[in-house]
Amino acid sequence: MSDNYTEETRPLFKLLRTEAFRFVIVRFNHYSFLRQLESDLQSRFPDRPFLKADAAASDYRSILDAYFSINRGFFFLENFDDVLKEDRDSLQRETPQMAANNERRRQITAGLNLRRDKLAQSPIALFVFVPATTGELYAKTIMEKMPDLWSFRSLMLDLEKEVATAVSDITPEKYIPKAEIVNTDDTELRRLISLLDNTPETELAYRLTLYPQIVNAANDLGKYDLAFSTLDTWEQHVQDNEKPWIWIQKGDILNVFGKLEDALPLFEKAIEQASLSDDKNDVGLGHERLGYLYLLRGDLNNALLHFEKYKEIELELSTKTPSISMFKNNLAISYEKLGSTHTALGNLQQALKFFEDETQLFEELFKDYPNNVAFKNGLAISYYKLGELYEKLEDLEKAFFYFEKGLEMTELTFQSSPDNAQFKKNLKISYNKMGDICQKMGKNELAEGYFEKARGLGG
Amino acid sequence: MSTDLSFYKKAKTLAEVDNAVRFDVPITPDHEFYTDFSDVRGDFEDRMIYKTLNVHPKTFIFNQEANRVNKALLFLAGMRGSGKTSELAKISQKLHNKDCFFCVTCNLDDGLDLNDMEYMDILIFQLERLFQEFEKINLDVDKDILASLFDWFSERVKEVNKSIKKEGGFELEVEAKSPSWFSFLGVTAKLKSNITGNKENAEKIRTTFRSNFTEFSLKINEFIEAVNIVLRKQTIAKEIMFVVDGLEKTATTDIRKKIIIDEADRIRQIKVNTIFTLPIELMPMAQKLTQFCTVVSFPFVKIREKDSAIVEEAIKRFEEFVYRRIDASLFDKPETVRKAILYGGGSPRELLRILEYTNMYADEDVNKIFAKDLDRGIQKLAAQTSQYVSAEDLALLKILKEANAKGQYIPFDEKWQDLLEKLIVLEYNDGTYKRVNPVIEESPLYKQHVG
Repeated sequence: MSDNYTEETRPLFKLLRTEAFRFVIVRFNHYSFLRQLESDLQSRFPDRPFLKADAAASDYRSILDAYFSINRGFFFLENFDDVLKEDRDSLQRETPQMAANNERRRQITAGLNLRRDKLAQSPIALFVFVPATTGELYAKTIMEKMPDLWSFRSLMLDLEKEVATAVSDITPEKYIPKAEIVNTDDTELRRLISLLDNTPETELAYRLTLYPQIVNAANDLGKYDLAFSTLDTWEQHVQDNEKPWIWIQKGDILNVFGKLEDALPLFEKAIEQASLSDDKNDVGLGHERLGYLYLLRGDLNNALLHFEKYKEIELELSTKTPSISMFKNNLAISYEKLGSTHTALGNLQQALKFFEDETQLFEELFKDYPNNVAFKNGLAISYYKLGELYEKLEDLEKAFFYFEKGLEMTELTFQSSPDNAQFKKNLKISYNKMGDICQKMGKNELAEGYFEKARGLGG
Repeated sequence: MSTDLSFYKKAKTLAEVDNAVRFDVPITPDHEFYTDFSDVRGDFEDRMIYKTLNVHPKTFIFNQEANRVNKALLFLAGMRGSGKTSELAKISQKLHNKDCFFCVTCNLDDGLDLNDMEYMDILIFQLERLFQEFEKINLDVDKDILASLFDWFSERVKEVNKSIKKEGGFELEVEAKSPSWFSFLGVTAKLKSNITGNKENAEKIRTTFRSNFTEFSLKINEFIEAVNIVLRKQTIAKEIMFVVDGLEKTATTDIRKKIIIDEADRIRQIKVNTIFTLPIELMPMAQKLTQFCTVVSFPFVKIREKDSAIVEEAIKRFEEFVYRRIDASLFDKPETVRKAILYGGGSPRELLRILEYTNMYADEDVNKIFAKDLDRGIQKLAAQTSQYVSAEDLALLKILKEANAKGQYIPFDEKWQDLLEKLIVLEYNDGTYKRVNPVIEESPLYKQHVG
């Protein structure tokens, strides 16, 4: 992957040769840059102390104490975008928790600004890190909140790299968000088509009840052309405020065929129309689709932006109407999307938080609806996500723990529908995954046991 | 710690340039880097400050006879990076003598680690600094003078202690006999540490002092005048003068406004010569302040007239500023320095930033700064402006450009004030003349939207 790291940091390393106070603002589009910078600073200036703090998890006093605990060297203040934010709900109100967090943030920015001269008395290079998703005018926010410290800025870095998409586990077939899993029995589809053929066009109300069912059935069977043409027909007969969901489904089908550029305007149109109709659910789904589309394009920052919006909407909906499990399910999915995107960006700690939140929600849904296949499946996926992340973090014990839990859920799902081809495929993948992790842990006999089970499923 | 200014020397090689262009280090008048810009700041002259303080601008003698009861309260308003702190350091140094003032500098950044500062806190801090300076010179003062104020403080401390809960109460050893500067320092330090360290105690201390403020002000004024007499008798100085720097860094505009505007009455009650730095965003309220004090605008150095003609005298002064820090031989030609100066827009700090960036691109093996290095540095700085200059800002800059071309003045507006605070627009003379920051003019964004 190409990046501008060397070019951007050349003047920085030259500047840092003179040991002095520096205020460096770093904008980045991949978290690996932080570790790379940390490593380079430590290797170039091994005699200088290095310390870092998480601005999102600290308060002003702890940051200041940490800063002054080193008399010289480098101080990284990560997740600095957090202190530039202000939390509000959709009605622009602050809950008590939001108010406390916002006050913490204000204390940090105002405090560091006030203590500018004091900070500058120590030959420490203070780095603040802001991800590229923060927004184009993030520097304006820093200027407004910390004008005196801003005036002492030494350098601004804008670190960028081409980021590969992590879509290996987000395949089109799995992606279409449906509660039912694909099957091969077309009986229901034939019934619906027959009904439609035999219903006069004047009976529009009745025909309108058939279109969505035909689309669903056709998608389940992979008959996408039929699904698309039905959506076309359906679109012609509805008001504007009912079109967003149709456009979203059309966009989904175009995605299946890799026609991303054709799908994009449909999702954007859906969001716009749904916003006019104040249909938050469709607005949320539109953002989810756009997030996925940007993911496929490799534009992770935009993907993140849209998944964040999706999450905000689903959070609002699930809070307002907790009785509707679909919103909670969607919220869980939004966490999964955010977690996957952060994983691709290299921010594993952030990803972990999202996967944990996702798991908690699916556990709650599974508890309330133990027979719901989609929730079971969602929970299984969430366990696998955690397992994979811990594997990346090289915590194999935890990885094993979560893969095992994922396997339990996958086995349950398979047992409920042993003829389901997708469930069988999932179970095979799970056994192989268990085998892999056991091998890594040196548990070869156990690993072989799992591989044997996978082979036993055939295919 | 790098407050030892002897560490900062003129650069003779490129490797030394970084250290020589540090813009976070305030330079004092006795340092080799110091450059006096007082006569090139357009309509500003430092004689205005001296006259306000009733000091002869050439002899630096305070006219105490004619100003027995006059106390000067002055607000120095200037943009960030204009050189206020260095100017105040110069003023303090010049005036700290037996024929003028005993200057006490209070840097709020150093002394008060507070986000929600109040005037009471500043006043207590001023007293602490005063006691520190008197203790340093071991000023010999009649014990009765000390006792009167000390007793008053002791009573207030007792009042505070009563209202503070047992867990939050502070223990203070108050010597009943022979109070000293040291024991005063103990009192003020204890008060300050409670103000900064404990929100509950802070409020109780402030409330106690506020509710007794009239008496407090009488006591302080009495004390200040008594000490002034001692200073004169011992030919140390004619009077005390405070320089309070850093007010502009307090947390929010509302807090700054509260301290200066809302507490103006209390500020007026303390009869002692004081210079405050005024947060730039409060300049529009200068009218209100002038009822009881003097507001002096401290602008950037004017390097261009309104019609864009270059002010050669100012350029020469900046050349001196540069060559005091970087040896002329390190530049390929004088025109490179001149170009850097013009991009600095009259702000010493912005010029130092430009030189820092230029040096990043200069080749140390060649040991020379070329015009192309300057161009690269400017381009880098200009490109960064896209991260803080918004579409609305650009629309205003277009208006400013057109107004300047026609020789017109821009009426006051909060949006302009915002641009001034962000140094997107720079101000000259007494604030009547503004220009776009030259670095921003170089940005592709500006060129595209403004031309």
